[in-house]
Amino acid sequence: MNSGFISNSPTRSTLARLTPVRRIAGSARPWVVLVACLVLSAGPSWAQREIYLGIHTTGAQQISLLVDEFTCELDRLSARVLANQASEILRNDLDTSGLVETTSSSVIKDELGLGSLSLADLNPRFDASTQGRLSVEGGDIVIEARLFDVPTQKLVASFRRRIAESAFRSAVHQMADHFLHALTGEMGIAETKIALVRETERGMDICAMDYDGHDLRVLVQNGEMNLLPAWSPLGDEIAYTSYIGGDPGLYVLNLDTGVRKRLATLGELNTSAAWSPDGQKLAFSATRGGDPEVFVMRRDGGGLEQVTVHRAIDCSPTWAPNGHEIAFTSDRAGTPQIYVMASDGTNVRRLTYEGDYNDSPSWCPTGDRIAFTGRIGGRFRICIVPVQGGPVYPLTDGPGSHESPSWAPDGRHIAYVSNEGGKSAIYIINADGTNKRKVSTSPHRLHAPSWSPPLSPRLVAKLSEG
Amino acid sequence: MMAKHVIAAIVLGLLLWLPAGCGTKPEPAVEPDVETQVEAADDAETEAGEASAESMAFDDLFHRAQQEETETEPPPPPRVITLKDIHFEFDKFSLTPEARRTLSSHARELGESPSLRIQVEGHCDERGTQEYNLALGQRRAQAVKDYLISSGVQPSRISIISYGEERPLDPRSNEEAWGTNRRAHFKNL
Repeated sequence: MNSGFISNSPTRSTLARLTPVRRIAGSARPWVVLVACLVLSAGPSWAQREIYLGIHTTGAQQISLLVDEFTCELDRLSARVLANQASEILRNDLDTSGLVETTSSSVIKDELGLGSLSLADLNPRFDASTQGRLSVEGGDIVIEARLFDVPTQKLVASFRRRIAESAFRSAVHQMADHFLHALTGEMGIAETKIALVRETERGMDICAMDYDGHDLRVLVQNGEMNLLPAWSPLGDEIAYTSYIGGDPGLYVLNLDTGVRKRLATLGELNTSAAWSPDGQKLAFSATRGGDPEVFVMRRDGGGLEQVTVHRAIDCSPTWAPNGHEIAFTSDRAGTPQIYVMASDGTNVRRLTYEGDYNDSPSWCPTGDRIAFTGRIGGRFRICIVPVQGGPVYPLTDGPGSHESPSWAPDGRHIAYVSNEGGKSAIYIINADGTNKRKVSTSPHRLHAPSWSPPLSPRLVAKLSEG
Repeated sequence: MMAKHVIAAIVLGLLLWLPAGCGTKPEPAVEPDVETQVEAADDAETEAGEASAESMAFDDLFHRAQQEETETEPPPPPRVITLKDIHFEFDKFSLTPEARRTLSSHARELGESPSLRIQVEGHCDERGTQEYNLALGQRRAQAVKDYLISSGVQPSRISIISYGEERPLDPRSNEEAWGTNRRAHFKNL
């Protein structure tokens, strides 16, 4: 990938005047270091980069970016359509990040009465600007773009890829993540996917779609009920519950080979699979002639251990990103509430004390918060509680029932289910409650989203092929 | 080729193993009282000229009586019985007094059909979360199974499964529908 990055002071000064807001009191530093490590480990091409420990949050701290129209070499309608799509996808990806606010050049041209814009025209209103171009080479499309710092007019980053048309969206997503990182030092999620369940008359299928709702694909379809997918942190497998054969069991689908394996499971109910952060273990809820308990096993199905021991219902496990703790739901106090325990089952402590129904915890990748489904005023909301305990705050509002939160790997977004539009669909929202948007477009009932980790180019291609 | 031979051998073996169907004179299996049977057959044959229908009837009865004593006799096909649903209170898996009465009656019916096996399905209404409802449905099915066992039904005859909120009986969203959907349902196996 041909991308340049200039790390001299003018660029730094542009961003330095945007002071980072410490959103999470007292714990921002380790979070920022964690993100830096995530970004550093994200790929060899970034290893030489200087990392900006910049923006954590949205609002007034966003970088203002002008996205110029993509030009096309060919004056064909289809090329124009693609060029418009490129701008649209880039803007949507960057806006969704919550760290950047984009404007399209046509708006500014109209305002200023100009046919074209130079970087000088954009100062001081914009911090940065992109320019892009589509051309054709052989049967492939070449997509190129450059990112400029507006005040200094210096090139900050560039991107060039030659791709088949079928890989177009994914190439623009890659560009967006690349530019986001250049601007903020943060990991983007534009190339990630969301696994989910789609309900049709013939059964419930495990599917995956781009995080923006495009390209929904069926991964498991057997005419039966398939539920609660869990995307492995390693990216290559999805665990799920299947009622195939009338016998609810835990299965793992390998995305590389397409092979589905039933894991050694026991008794009757086997559900709510949750991967440990190193991808080596699965926690799940199962019964063996008694009440549902949380169990842990290795990813090959061996090493089964019962972790909770209580005659209450214990279910819905989720791992801490450090692998040492598991949050789960238990009704041992009379109603379903969120609890935390060490991953060996010791040190159980209750986390939620408000409300009479709290379930489906999802531990934030930053380690400090847990999102969950909480019933408030008779309706379900996505809620957040700090891991060390404390007040719960509702993240979502408005009509309908909101359930099943799943964090994006950047720790800044949550996917969830809402039926506010009539039928259950997948929505995403920023972790600070802003920018809620519906992403799924399927006419079917959708539920149980599970956000993928960053995926290797091989897996991205695999999930986009055909 | 090999496979075809093997299958043919298995099928032949099954045909020899299974007693012949109803309406035909059954082949006597090797039994302790085979001599008695042969005698009876001989008797029937010596009286061949007389009232053969009568002796055939006697033979049939005799052989049927023999059959009922053999261990290889397959059980009579189980009657299909319909056990009605029992219902639960919101967010609860405990059995109401009415549910207990219904289950006691189910236990009696199951007692009368000792070969019958059932699956108890636990269901919830749509108002909870998907994950907890799967667990609650499981707990409801288990509560029903426990009660039936305490009423004398053999545990191996009852299997359980939870469908959480995924298979409502009544698709509407009101109290009546929700009450209908919070149920344990019984399926013949």
